[in-house]
Amino acid sequence: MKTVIAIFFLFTSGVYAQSEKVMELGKQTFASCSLCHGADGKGAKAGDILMAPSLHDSEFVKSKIAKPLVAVILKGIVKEDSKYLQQMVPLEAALSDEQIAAVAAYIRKEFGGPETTIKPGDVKRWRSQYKSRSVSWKRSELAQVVARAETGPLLRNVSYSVYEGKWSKLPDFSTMEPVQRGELKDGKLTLDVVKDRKDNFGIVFEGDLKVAYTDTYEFSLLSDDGSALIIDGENVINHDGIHPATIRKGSEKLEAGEHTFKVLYFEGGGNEALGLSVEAKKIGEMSLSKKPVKKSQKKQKVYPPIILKPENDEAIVHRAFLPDAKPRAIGVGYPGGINLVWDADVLNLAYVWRGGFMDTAKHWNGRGSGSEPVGGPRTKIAHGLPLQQLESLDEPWVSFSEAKIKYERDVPNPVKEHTFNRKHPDYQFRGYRLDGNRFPTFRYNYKDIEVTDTFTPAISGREDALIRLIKFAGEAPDHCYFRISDMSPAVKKKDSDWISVGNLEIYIEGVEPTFRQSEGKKEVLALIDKDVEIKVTYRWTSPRKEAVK
Amino acid sequence: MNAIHSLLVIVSFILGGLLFADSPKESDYYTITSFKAPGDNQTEVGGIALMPDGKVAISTRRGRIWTIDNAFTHPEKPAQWKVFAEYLHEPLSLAWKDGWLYAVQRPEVTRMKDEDGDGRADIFETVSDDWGINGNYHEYNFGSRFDKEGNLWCALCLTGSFTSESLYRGWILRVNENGKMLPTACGVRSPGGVGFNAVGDVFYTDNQGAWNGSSSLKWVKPGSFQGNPNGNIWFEYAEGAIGAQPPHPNYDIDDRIEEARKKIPTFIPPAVVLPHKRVGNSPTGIESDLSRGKFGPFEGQTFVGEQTLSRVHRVYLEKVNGIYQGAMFPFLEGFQSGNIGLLLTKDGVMFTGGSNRGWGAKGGQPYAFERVNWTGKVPFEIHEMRARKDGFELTFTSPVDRGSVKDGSFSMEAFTYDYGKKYGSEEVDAVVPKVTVSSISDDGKSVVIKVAPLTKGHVHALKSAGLKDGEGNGLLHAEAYYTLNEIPK
Repeated sequence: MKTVIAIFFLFTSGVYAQSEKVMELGKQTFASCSLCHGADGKGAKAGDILMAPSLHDSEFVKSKIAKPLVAVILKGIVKEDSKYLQQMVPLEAALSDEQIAAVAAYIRKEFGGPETTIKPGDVKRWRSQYKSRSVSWKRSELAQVVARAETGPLLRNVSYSVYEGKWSKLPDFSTMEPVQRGELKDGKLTLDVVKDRKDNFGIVFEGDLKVAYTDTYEFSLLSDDGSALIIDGENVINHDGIHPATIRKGSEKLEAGEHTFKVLYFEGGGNEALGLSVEAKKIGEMSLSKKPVKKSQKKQKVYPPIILKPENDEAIVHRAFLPDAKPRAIGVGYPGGINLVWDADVLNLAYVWRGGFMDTAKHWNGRGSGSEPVGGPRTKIAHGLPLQQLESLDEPWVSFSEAKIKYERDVPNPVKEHTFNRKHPDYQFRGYRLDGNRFPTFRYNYKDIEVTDTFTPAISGREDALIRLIKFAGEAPDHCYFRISDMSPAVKKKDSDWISVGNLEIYIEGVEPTFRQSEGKKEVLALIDKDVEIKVTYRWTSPRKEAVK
Repeated sequence: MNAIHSLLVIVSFILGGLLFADSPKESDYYTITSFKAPGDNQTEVGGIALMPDGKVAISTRRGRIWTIDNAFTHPEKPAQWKVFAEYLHEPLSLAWKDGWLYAVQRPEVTRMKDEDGDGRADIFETVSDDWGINGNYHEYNFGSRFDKEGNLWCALCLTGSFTSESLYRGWILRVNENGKMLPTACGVRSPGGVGFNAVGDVFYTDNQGAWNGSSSLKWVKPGSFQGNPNGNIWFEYAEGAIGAQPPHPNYDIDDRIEEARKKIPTFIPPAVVLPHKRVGNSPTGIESDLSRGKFGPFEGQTFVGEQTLSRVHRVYLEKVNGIYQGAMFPFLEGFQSGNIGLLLTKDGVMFTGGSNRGWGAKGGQPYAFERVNWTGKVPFEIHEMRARKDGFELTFTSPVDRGSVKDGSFSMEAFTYDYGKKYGSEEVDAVVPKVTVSSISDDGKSVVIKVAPLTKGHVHALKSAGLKDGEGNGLLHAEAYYTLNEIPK
């Protein structure tokens, strides 16, 4: 008995000490929050206005569930008005699970929220749930996050029965004997329960449907092949028959409280899929299946697109952080819908594409995270440093100049290795010059030679093409090669001097190309000696999908 | 009784009205004129420069450079806007030198020229890109104009404002027109502008955050360490340009700059603290008044933009025991957006402008470009605040009413900030010194006050609420904040 008491005592004091430690960590972490929200949580003053709202009135702080507050800390809030000076920024990168759990617990304890335990594990789970979300919350969404969190899972006590048979329509499962039964612990519909079956089976999921708010609920049922959703005995969605993974929707007004549901599903042959989601005003959208209904949820864009379009026969030269290139990227949109990114960090073309040029919405909103090419697809052509001395053709190409340094934040003797882009000492970018149509000629130095790189869109045969003229002024060092392509297959077309590379064909003038296979890549190189000029025509092999006017 | 009461009310209304009308306000002395770009074009102003032809060039965060004719006469003679360049990468600073317009973009210092004479730049030369950049939005780059030796100074923000993940993040570099780059100072956190005082020494503004208890104006003494140690890993690349890596600060405690200076010889303390929350939250551009009186009575003083509270501060600098320090005074508020760029011409005209994108600003407008003109009237202000070994000497823009110069007209509090890795600091180590009047000059334009105690390393916040000028008006701005890095011997 004594031992039991002693253990019990140890256990409880351990918990106490830990929670005290958590509160201390929460307090520490809150220090940076307090700059805007105030140490007292009432909002810090900046002159006669507040930097950020009081936390005492926050529905996220007060919610009986901690998740909405954590969601706010992770993702931040979109600034929709100017009531407060600052903006709640996403802290998911800045704070650890432990810090977020602690600061959320601290905020709820100090500023009028319910005292609940928030474990770092919870934060980790929610972090992963919101992983694909790249934008901050709108206030309206947050209300839904609260409503969803307070609602809890909609489907409860879900059991399933598996049937065998070959059907082209949903059969009457009630007359059949199931070959397998079970329960879904988390209530999320999934085909994982029949992992060993590929074709010719059916499943009935059934259980309780609990909604916290009276509302009209719109269900989306995705299936390959047939399916149906039945609520309180009524058929809400009929998505029967053999078909690929498509979505069918159905709405039902539901009173707050308990209902019953059934999902009937069958798979004939081929691929199989099942998903169910629900959307209502109050709770927003919730997935009721393990795999979300929208397989590839598009990145939610908060900002309406701002499209840059070349006009008046002039090119646009746009400098911004751009995808698939180093930070010193330069986008060029030519009239007629041929576009490229030239990368001033590596002094070379990064990629080309056809169609629309550039959406600057993300670059010109918020703190500016970069622009996005709008057309496509993008074809990378030997992205990387353009020139290299190769003693032998077995030497691999070094595309990027990087270095390592030992670095950790606020640590006197760091041990972690940090890799960073390091400007290559043999190169210097010199900028660009615009011609009458504002087409740029890029300039750089490599050792003792001066290089210019010019592009002109063209039509070759009947296809889109881009003509590139690279001039190397001066005497190149020994065994100096320029890399024209690193795309497979890099083979000469029959009865022609065109070389097939990826979805392009290239035609090289001025030098004799050298072909090699290096590190699994087919490379087309050109030996550079003195005052060389290379003309490369890049030609697409297929017509453009969308015409650009 | 009722009648008398009513009469009193009326009289007090009239008096109140008169007093109100007479009570000096900033706009009596300095007016703000707002510009609007043609069409629905925005002007999130970063840099502002004067071109030799009298046009004013502005660069915007969206990468456009405008040249504006009639910027000095607008709206009487309306401004004429023309696009000089477009789609640069967040150019936050502009400078003109020898036929080239220089823009400090995120990735490089660029110089531009219009060769074919159509008003648009067609040559874009990369002057220098000898530093790292990794795509993080916080890796801003602010530049100065050219110094006497022909160098343009660039202040490179840390990565995400906490770490230094790219070469020279958290450093200030000098670049000359031939592209030669010289690493010059380290310890930077998140700059908002680089500029010169009246004698051409270089200063930058740094925003409150890690290792930076309050925002401040800092002196970029070549070779100096400015406080944030995270960029110091790059000393191994600086090839001795500014000597050896400074000793580490104490990572485990909330230290004081005053203490850290003893251990780190190159640590230059902030010249003028701009007390966070009290006067602003985000200082930006720096310009000094070289107009020989055309911008009012503050010749030789320095002006600092303020983004969050949409203001411009005034700063008086002096060197004491070899270290810059001085006082900050409120100057002008009511700008429409968050001020970033600043230009103060030799003709005594100030231009400013900015944006509230990503960082809110009191002005409420998403962007602005504005001009400040002096009306010719001299405001009653503390002109200079100079440290003495036992107090301060205050000079005034116009004579004080001698009767108002008494101990009770002044009050002071002194404080400092934690120096450490956490984000920002509250005011700490508060001291309430006693202020007594020592002397007043014959012309009434200088008052010496004794302050006991003076605390080395503390901001001394003076309030001169009781002072009056000859017309019975109080100071236009009664507050002054003096950063006492050194006490005169």
